[in-house]
Amino acid sequence: MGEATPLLELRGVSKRFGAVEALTKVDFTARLGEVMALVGDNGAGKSTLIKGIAGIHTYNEGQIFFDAKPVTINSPRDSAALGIEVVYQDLALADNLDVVANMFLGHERTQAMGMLDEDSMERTCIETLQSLSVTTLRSVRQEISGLSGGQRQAVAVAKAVMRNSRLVILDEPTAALGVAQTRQVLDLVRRLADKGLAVVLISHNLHDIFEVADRITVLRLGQNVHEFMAQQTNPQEVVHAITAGKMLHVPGMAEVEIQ
Amino acid sequence: MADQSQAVPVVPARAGIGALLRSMLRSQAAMTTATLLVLMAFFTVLFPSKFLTVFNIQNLLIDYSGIVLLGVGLTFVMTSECFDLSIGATLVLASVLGVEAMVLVGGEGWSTVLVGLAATLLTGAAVGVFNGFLVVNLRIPSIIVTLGSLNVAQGLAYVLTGGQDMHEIPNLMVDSIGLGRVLGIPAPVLVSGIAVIVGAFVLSQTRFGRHTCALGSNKEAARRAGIDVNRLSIQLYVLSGMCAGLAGFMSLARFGTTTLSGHSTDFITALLGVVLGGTSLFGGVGTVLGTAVGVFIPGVLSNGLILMSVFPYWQLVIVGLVLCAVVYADLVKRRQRDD
Ligand SMILES: Nc1ncnc2c1ncn2[C@@H]1O[C@H](COP(=O)(O)OP(=O)(O)OP(=O)(O)O)[C@@H](O)[C@H]1O
Ligand SMILES: [Mg+2]
Repeated sequence: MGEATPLLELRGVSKRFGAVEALTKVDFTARLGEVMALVGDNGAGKSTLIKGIAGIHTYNEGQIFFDAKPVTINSPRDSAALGIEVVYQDLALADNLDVVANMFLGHERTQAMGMLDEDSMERTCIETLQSLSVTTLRSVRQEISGLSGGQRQAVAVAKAVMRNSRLVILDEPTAALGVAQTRQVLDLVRRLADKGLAVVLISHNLHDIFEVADRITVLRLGQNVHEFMAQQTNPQEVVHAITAGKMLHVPGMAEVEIQ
Repeated sequence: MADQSQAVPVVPARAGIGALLRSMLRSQAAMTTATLLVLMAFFTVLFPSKFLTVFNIQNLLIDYSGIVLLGVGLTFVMTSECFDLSIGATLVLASVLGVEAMVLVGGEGWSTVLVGLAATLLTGAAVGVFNGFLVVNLRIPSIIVTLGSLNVAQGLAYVLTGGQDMHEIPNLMVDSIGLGRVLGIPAPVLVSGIAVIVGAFVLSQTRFGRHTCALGSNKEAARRAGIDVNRLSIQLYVLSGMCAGLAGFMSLARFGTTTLSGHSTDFITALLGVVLGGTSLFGGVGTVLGTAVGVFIPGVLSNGLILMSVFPYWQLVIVGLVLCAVVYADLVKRRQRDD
């Protein structure tokens, strides 16, 4: 851990949607081998922040550093090329396709005559699931429509990990899950970091966060409030930051204190 | 990296809702095939000397070869959760422009025929680009776009011909393609057969087919996977248009004339074949082989009705009713899955 150079660093990023300023000069970091939790109330700007990293939209201002080098991310392809993978709140898996097809969607392996190389894809798929100790899937040839929420989450995470990604971002991966499935997904999240990846975890559940996170970044109304070290803080402090934290900038106003 | 000794149960198990659905789909294809066989058995018993004859079956295959071509293209478009109502009219416009092009270059030889083929295919592709552009760039629902282009294409065909069918088709084209045979197989049947085999391969075994299923299953998932969904949609409309263009060319070769008003029911027949074959109206699932079987249910039905001396227009009534029934069955299946 410690203060190694972050794999990803955002400096002063802002994002406006018309008159709405969803992010105002936000700083954010993610380090290899660590889970960075991103928390904040509904509408705080968490999803907006990660969409900028994922290339879904571009920030209006600010800089992105990856491996300490300035980069531009204008499309999901740019983001994927850097080794960034995002598992969205809504997962977006293709229900009618099986696990293998979903894991390789957009990156299918082919053989002679452009034929899909199903065997090779199936093997890699199984290997990836094994390396993440995902044991809840009955078959990699099951269609997604037949999987439980936790199984889908595992597939989405395995998919993100499979392509040699270095930064995996998870937007509320446990929101729709029961106790046992949440447990499995959290274990999986921790394993990603222990494998040396940088992980960003968005969640409203502080209990989950304190279980797996190394650091916690708090956003409020689109602004930074604080970055905590998980071991040096407690849930009460974080809740206070989320609901009543002092913001650094208030757009269009004098510096107002919201305590 | 993986600990291979670890027991991970990843054998292709045949359980769960997904597998159940798949088996239901399979049973739909099985049911379609069974229905077809029952229909054929029925008419065979009824007309032992007329129905199951080489002559009659061959005619049936030739008569529906054009619908099969339309069905192949439609299967792709519908698997991507879009519609193409324009295929019948595209067929007509393509055949008109095919003749116009052949008249323009003149001659009676193979080069003239090739020009005709190129013109029909290009017409189909052009209608496809038009459809795709409106659906993708202007985001007009595909059912409306293709309803519009149906009328544009049919209207243009009438405008270009003044409503009179054109007959200026090289004899060579009629003799060698329309009436021709290769190894005893009628050329129109051969062309459609090849289209089915290629289409089935592409849809089920290639990246293009996989992406088409993904687009129809979850467009957002496809987009996030880096698939250029707009380009893919346009490609699918071009494919469907070109299948219609090829059907237009084959129609010229068979009849030796443009058949301006002879294709108004082609779309509904092809659609019925597609959904009977097991392609979902709601996208994500499609089978070209199923379509090829499905198309012959209305085919055998109309053939049998003619043998029974039933007024053939009853076929339309039946096709319409069966279509509603099949789509209802598909809906029920979806609802069961989503609950
Ligand atoms: N595409 C958009 N157009 C306009 N406003 C948007 C858009 N996306 C987000 N916003 C606004 O930006 C703000 C931040 O939204 P965002 O979705 O990032 O919040 P969040 O922290 O992810 O919330 P939640 O916890 O509910 O997921 C909100 O006020 C939201 O209404
Ligand atoms: Mg959000």
